[in-house]
Amino acid sequence: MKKTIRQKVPGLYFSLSFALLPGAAAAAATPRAAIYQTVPVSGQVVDQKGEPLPGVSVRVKNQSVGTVTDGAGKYSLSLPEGSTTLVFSFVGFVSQEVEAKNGGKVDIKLNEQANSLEEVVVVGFGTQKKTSTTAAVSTLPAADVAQKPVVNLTNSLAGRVAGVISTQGGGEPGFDGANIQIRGVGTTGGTQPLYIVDNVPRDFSRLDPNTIETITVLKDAAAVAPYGVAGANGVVLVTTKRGRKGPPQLSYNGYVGIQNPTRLPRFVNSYQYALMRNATVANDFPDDPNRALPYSPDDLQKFQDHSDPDGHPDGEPLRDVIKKNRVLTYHNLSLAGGGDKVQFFTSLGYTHQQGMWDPTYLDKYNASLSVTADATSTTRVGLSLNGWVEMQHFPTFGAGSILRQAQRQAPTTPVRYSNGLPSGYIAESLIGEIYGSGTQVNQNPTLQAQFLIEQQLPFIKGLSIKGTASFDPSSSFQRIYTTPITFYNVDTSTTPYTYKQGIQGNSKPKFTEYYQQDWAFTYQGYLNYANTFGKSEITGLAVVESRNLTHQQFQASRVNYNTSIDELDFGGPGASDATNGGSSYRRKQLGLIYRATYAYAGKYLFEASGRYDGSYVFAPGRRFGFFPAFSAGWRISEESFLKNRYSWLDNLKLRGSWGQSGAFPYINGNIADFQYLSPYTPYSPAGVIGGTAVQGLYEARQGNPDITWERANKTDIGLETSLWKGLLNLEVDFFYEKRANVLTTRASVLPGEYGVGVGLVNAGVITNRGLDLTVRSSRHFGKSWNLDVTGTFTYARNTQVNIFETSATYDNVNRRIAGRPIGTQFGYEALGYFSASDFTADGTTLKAGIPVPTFGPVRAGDIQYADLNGDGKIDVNDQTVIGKSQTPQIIYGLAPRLSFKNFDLDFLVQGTARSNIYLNGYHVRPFDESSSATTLAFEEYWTPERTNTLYPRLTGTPTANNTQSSSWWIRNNAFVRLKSAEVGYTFDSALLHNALKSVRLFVSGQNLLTWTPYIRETIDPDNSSNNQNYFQQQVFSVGLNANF
Amino acid sequence: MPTPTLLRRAPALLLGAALLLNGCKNDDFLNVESKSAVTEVSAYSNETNADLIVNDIYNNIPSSSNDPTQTLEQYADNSFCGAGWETGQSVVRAGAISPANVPNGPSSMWRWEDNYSRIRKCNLFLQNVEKYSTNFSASWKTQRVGEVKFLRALYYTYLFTSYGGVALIDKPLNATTDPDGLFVARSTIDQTLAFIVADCDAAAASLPTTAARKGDGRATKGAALALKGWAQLFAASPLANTSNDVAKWAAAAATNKQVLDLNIYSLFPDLGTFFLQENNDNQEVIFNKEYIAVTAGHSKEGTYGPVNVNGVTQGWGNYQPTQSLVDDYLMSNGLPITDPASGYDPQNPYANREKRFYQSILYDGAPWQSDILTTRIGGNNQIDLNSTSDISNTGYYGRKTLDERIPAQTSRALNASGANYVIFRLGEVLLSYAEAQNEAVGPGAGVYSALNQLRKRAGLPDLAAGMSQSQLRDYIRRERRIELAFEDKRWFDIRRWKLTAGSTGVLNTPSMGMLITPDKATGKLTYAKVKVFENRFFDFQNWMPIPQEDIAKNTKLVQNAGY
Repeated sequence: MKKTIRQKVPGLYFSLSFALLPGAAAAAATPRAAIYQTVPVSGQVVDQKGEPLPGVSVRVKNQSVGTVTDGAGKYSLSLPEGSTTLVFSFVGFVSQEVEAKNGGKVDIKLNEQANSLEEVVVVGFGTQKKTSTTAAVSTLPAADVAQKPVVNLTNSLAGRVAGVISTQGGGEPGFDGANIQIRGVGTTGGTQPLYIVDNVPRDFSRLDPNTIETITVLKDAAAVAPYGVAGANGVVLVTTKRGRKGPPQLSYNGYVGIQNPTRLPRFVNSYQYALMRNATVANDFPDDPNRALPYSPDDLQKFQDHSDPDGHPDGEPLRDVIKKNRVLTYHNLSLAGGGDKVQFFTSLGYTHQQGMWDPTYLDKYNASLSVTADATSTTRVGLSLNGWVEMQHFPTFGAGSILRQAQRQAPTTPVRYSNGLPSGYIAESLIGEIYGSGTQVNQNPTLQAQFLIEQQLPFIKGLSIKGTASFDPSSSFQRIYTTPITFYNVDTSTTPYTYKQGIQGNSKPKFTEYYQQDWAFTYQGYLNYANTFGKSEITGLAVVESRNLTHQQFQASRVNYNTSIDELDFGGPGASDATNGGSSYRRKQLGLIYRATYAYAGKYLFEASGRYDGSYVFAPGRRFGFFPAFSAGWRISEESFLKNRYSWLDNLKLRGSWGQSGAFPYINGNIADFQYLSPYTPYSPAGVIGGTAVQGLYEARQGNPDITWERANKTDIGLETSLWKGLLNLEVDFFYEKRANVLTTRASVLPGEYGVGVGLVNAGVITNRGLDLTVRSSRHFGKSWNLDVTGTFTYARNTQVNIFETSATYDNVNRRIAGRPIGTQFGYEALGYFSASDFTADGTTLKAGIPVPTFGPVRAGDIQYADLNGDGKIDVNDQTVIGKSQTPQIIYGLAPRLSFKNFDLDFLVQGTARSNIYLNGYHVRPFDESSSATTLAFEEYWTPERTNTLYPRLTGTPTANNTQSSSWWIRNNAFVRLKSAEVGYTFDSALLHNALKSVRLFVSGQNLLTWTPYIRETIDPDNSSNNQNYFQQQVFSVGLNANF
Repeated sequence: MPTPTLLRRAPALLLGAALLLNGCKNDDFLNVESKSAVTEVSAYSNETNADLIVNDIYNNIPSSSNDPTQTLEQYADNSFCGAGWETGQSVVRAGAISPANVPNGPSSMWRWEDNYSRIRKCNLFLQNVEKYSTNFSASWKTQRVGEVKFLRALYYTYLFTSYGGVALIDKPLNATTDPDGLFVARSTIDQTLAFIVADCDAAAASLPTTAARKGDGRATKGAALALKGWAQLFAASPLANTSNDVAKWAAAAATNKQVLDLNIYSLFPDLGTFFLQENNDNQEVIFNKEYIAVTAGHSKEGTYGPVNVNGVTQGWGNYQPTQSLVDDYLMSNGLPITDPASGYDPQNPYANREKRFYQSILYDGAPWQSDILTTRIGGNNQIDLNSTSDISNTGYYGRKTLDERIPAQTSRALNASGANYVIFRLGEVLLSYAEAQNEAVGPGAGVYSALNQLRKRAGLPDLAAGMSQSQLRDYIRRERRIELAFEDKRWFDIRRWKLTAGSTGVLNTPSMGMLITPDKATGKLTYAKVKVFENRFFDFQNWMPIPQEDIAKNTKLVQNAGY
């Protein structure tokens, strides 16, 4: 070993992983001859109500022998000779030790312990007892994930886990993931946390919910330091299910649901539209009073009486194309079990999700297999496979452009004519973009495979080594067949009307295939040590981890298909009909992780952890960094002056941590590697020279050879307490982070004449502080009532301490960015509307003394802004803070859970506060880009008679003055949502004549009610400013859990 | 006891760990090749590679043809734009040009930072071609340096004709090696012109008279002189030449004459087909940006072409000629419509107009793609007075530079047009010469000759002799508008002539269209000019403001007056 270690590091993991296999063989060869005499023991474990408890760990004290109770709470095992004590432990119950000297039948009753002192939490590269953890860690119970009608698992965290700020931008099948920020935003760079599945950085969003064992959120430095340069934004740790001892248990979980948009704005009908259009004329041409109106009284009459459905249609395009009650269904079958030596878990899942229109739907197939086996008495071997294939189907037009057109199209153009022909509005056919534009199919298979081998090293008690090798291949194959969109325009000058056919797009189809392949190899070697010396408990962990990723993609495209066969080979014959392209990259990372803990008397807890981490992202010689963390805990309730003196005090722990963690450079959400290079980048076609398309080469960037990672200094103080036997559990953490070396661009201070982009530099300083809080209360009422309420609260506020900014903003206290949170919105302070009395007799010249806007002419009914610098004109120097970031500073959740006999009820109310949304787009700007208008706009546009309105005067197109970024369009985005609700009834096995072990039927809902007290517009608070993100979905479902 | 075992082994483990950490100092095993870039050394290692850099500099030439949303004619009085969000309406015509809202022109033609980025590419090439000069032959170097100096002059001309005097930077800025040299103040108008002239002179001296290969898209001597002549003409015009220094006009006349005297360009006989793909690189073209349909094409027909054709929506209709442009076309007898002898009938306004009218304008009753466009009330493109659609607000569409054979939807879907974007052609040089000569010397044979060449092609009789300098000036200005309509020249002309603002300012008086109403019984059409938009423009806005963010970053820059 020593020899190997002395060699260069690349050899290390090879030597370690090599060492593992012979190690196993060596262990097998060590004398196991001393076969123990064993005594069989069996029994059943029940809870206080006498209900069988499956999954209870039954271990022989101070031995590695153990089992788990089966679905009926039964267990059996063999007591090694000399052992007499069985330890029964189960999450949420008080552990019990029972003498079983002579074996036989040992039935016991476990008492529920709401404060979960024995709970084990998953931490980086291992697990710890909750009571001895000194880091800030939150756990999401698997039950909160398993059967909720949520396809993308990133959406499971909002409101359930303290410390997680989560926003879901859109609900499109396949693209409905939430943006997760742990403890808010600490940098202007990338903010997404590191996602870890079974100790390896991986995507967890598409895992089958029923294969999730735990989801854990690591928040403070003590928790994230083992992730080194990638941990500063927090870590989401997911573990997937493993087999457990017991007879095979077959379970079915599934639901069928329907989806509808949470918020669907109402747009005007044709009559209202025509009235509004007519109203614009007086505003646009005030000195032209005899000007003809766009719509005559006859038109208005026909819009109202629907007597001329194609000449004077009356549609509501948005509602006409969004289908109601779209199906969402999920089915899962899992089988788990195993004997003493081999355990397995296997699961199959299927998800089908329809989109708001037919061509959009998703099919997802998940499969999992986990096998673990004791190869020898000291060697454990495991293989786990989590795989899925996601098939996404879309029209070739994106949801954003469809929703844009659906909100743009005036009601005076129907989606289809009365004879069924599809229409077009301003050279675009809304219905054609959905149903006639061809299809895009994405096939995304992913496999997450992990092989592990763990070896106890008997020559040192408590020492073990473990090696894992993970191989994660994933790919995406896209077929995009774009067809010409046929649409019709009506000619009303003929009798009867005639319908002329047009083509949107090229008159012949186009076909593109795109293939992307990602391979990730992760090798880990673990050295684990745990032992007890008197009152001292020591654990040690050392891990070496090496990662190697490759990415390759290519695409090929053909145009001018003469047949309708979507095969690449059959495209047009011309040289210019075919195009192709491709690119690739590799990534490497190597880390050395350690953690050491020392606990004295279970009261004084100390921990040191960290990582020495290296990445290819940085220049040679600047690739490795050290990220240490230290933490300590004091279980005050264990002190003699408290213990057993106050019966209401179950647990009181104070803990604190400090440490450092890093973050990679990010640009637009992607790791920005090679920022240290000053590259020239080729591209083509770079125009035409000499009669042919040519290639070009340009200086892409002036690199920063000194670039390094962002460095976060994190401090956390936490308090955990449990009172009155679990009636009140409270965990609160105060945190402070100072992120130094924040990677930012100097471009904002280099002169505009500089002419080339420069590499990111480590120059920013950002602080982030706040608290997160979990309160839980459990109570039994009488014999059959159980109430359990969990509340979470998270507050995080950042401050940009040092950033690049010009004197134009820095010297103006209203506009200064430094000292304010990231994402602070700037604009003009709206005072209200100009009134006629603000103008001289001509109606266009502002009276002396009234500050003049520089955005074009204004009239009564236009928005008036504050002249903050008092120079008599409104320009950029008058801008100030008009709102907070749309990312909320506060997010909270309240989850009451009630059970009565066989009924159970589960709610989650989730809310946010301290966020602002800026509204723009067609839903607040009538006639913008020839768009329609909402009914709210119809009721709320300014007229001389109606001045206290939400929106300014109507013009044929919104004026530049009224569309300036201003407080007029800012809304307080605080909301409260009934995020989920579930009612279930469990038929127990007696009721089922023992045909099944148990069956639970449930009705559940997601996003049931949303209350936005400060926004009158019909917009989901998670949507974008222009309400053109795929609408969030409300889901109603009925489901079944059955155990066979 | 296990403890001693562990303790005994601890030193070995520590030593191992220390060696491991030490090993990380040499981190070559983390090397990953960047696949998206080559080094400067390799970029300049031979002529083939360095040619790619020059290709990129050419490719940075802005053109209206591949700007999907706006044409420069919309900024000027030649074309209206119905979409309120388009800069021509929301900024330029609204009098809203400000440092926070600088209209940048199609393809960011004169955007401050874009041009300095283009200029940096030139400066970097000129610096590195010396640094790596041993890799290049003398003839290659002479030719490419000439081209790049021409291109640098072109990019400075976009700045000059928009902002006046600008920061003159002739080597790449470097924040690391020369942090003090980063912030450069503005030079005067004369200094800026001198810089452009010097680059053009250097280019003209080293570039061949004719391209190595016809239509290779590279700059020639004629291109360098035409650019110099244009920059000088702009500098001589009232906006930049506030003291009306006649010597500046004389200099412009001389340079434009030099182009004519090269005697290698001649007028293409038909302006109506000049801009079709098959006539790319014709005998009149001095410099253009080249295209190839589909591969490296543009979608002008789709974005600028008429909206409803053959009953269905096709184009975006971004060419919407104003009534004032339509009125400026002469009658076929060569007289303006205001002349009582012209025979113009306001109730039959499209009859007997000059050839260029029919080549340039689509009007009510004009044929297009086997359809007859009608903009009258009830017509297939009924005038859209309220911007409820893309249909023209003026009752006209543009025709010039568009290829009737390319359906608009195909054009947008495939970039199906391969017609080049003409930057300089002989017709413009004739007009520039005539204008400068008339201003410098007054009416003369050279001026008449230049103008009559264009009239002849337009099928018009020669100009009547004996016009005064002032009459001729008015004529040249009208002729320039007509001849160069839809070629992105008008915006610069109305500003340099200071015609934009004031009570008669072409951007300060309403844009007009033509409302054509058929009689319900007889079908007889009634023509009435109708107000389309209340324009507003201030005199100081003839010079663009330096963008707010650039003034903020370089406090040495002084803003133009009025902002």
